[in-house]
Amino acid sequence: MKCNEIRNLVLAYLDSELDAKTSQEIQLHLQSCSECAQIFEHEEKLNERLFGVLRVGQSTPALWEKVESRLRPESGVTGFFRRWKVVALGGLAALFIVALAVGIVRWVGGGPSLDLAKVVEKDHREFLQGKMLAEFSGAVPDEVVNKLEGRLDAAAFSKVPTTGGFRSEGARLCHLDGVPVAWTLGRFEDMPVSLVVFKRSELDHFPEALQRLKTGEPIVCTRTGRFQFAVRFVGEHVVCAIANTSKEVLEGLLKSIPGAG
Amino acid sequence: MNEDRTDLAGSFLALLRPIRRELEVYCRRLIWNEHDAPDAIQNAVMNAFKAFDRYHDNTNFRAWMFKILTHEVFKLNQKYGRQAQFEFQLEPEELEALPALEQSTGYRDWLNAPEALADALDQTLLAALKTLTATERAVLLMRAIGEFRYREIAATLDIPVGSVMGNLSRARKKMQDAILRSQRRSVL
Repeated sequence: MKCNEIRNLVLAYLDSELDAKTSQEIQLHLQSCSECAQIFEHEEKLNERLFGVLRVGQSTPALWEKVESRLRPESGVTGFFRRWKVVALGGLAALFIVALAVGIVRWVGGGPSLDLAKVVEKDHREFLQGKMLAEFSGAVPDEVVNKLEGRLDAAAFSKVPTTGGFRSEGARLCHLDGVPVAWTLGRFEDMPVSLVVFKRSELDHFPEALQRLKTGEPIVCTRTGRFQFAVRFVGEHVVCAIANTSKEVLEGLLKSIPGAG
Repeated sequence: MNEDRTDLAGSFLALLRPIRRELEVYCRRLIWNEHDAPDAIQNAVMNAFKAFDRYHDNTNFRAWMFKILTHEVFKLNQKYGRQAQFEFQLEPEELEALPALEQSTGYRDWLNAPEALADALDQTLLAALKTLTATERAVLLMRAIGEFRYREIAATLDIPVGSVMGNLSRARKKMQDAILRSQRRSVL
C-alpha cells in the first residue's frame, strides 16, 4: 500500500476495525516510513486526549435514585393512588379486586411464562399423547453417548428425583430448540412427569429462563398451559420438571435430585 | 404482581447499574440543552423497562440502552430545531492558518496534557461538540464513551458502517479544528 492509502486507514487502524492482514501491512509500513509513523502517532495521541476529555464525568446519584424509585413496584402503587385519588371508591375497589385476582393467579402460578417452559410443554404433551416414548432404561447406551457430541454428558441422565413416589419409566435423548437434553419420562404417584436436563452453558438459548435464574432464585416456577413448570441449576446442569401438579410438588422433586443441595 | 415486577426490576437494575455513569455522561454530551438530560435519562430508562420483557439476554444490553437513550435525546433535541443541527463554519483565513497551528506549542502541549493548559482547552473541546451535526456527535460519543465497534454504532443509529467512518472522521477533524482555532485566538 502507498502512503496515502495507509493514511486513509488511520482511524480504522487505531480503532482496531481492520482485518488482521491489513493491520499487519500497516504495521510493516510504519516500521519503514517515519513520516506515516509520525502521523499515526499524532492521530493516536489526539484520539487518547479527545476521548479522554469526552469520557470524564460522574453520574448524579440523586437522579438515578429518582429513576430507580420509579421502577419499584411500591412507588408504582403509590403513584397509582396519587393519580387516581379522585376516582370513586367503587371504581378503586373494582380495580383492587381485579388486581388481587391477577395477583392470586400469578402467585399460584409462580411467575410469568418462560420460553423454556413453552418448549418443554410441547414435548411433554407428546409424551402424554404417547407420541414420545422412552428409548432406554438404566445405563446410557453407547449409541446415545455418541450422539451427545460433547454438548451433553451421560451424567445428565442420572439427574432424577430420589424422593419416594417418583419412578422413572425410561429416558431418551431429545433436542429442544437445537439443544441436546436428557429427557426422563416418569411418574410421581401415577402422575406423568417429564424431567429435562441439559448443560448450563446451553441456557443462552432460553434467554427468559436465563434472566430469571440469574436473579438468584433457587427454583424458578411458572405455569405453562395447564402444567406447572419448575427449573433450577444442579451443578453444571439445568434441570427442569413439568407436570400437571402443584408448584410445591415440583419443587420437592427438584430438591431431591442428587447434587441439588 | 408486585413480586413479578420486583423480579423484573431487579434483573433490569442489575444490568443498568454498571452502565449508569457511561449513559449519563453520553447523554449530557449528546443533548443540546443540558437541563433536558434528567428527562432524557428518565424517559429512556422507563421506556427500556417497559420493553424489558421483550429484551433477550443475547442482546447487548449496553448497546440496547444507548440506542434507546440516543433516540430519546434526539427527540428532545428536536425542540431546538435547526439550532441543534448547527454545523460549525470556519472563516477562510482561519482555515488557512490551521495547518501551521497544528505545529503550535499550545496544541502539542494539549496533546501531551500539561494540566494548566489542558483545562481551558478541554472546555473549548466540550463546547465544540455543538459544532458537530447530531449524527457526528452521536457517532463520536458512542465511540469515545461507549467504546462501541463501528458495526454496533451503525446498528444503533440505523446508518451504514461507511457512514459511521465518515461521520467519525469529520467529527474528529472538527474537534481538532476547534482546538487549533482556540489556540490561534489565544495567540492573537
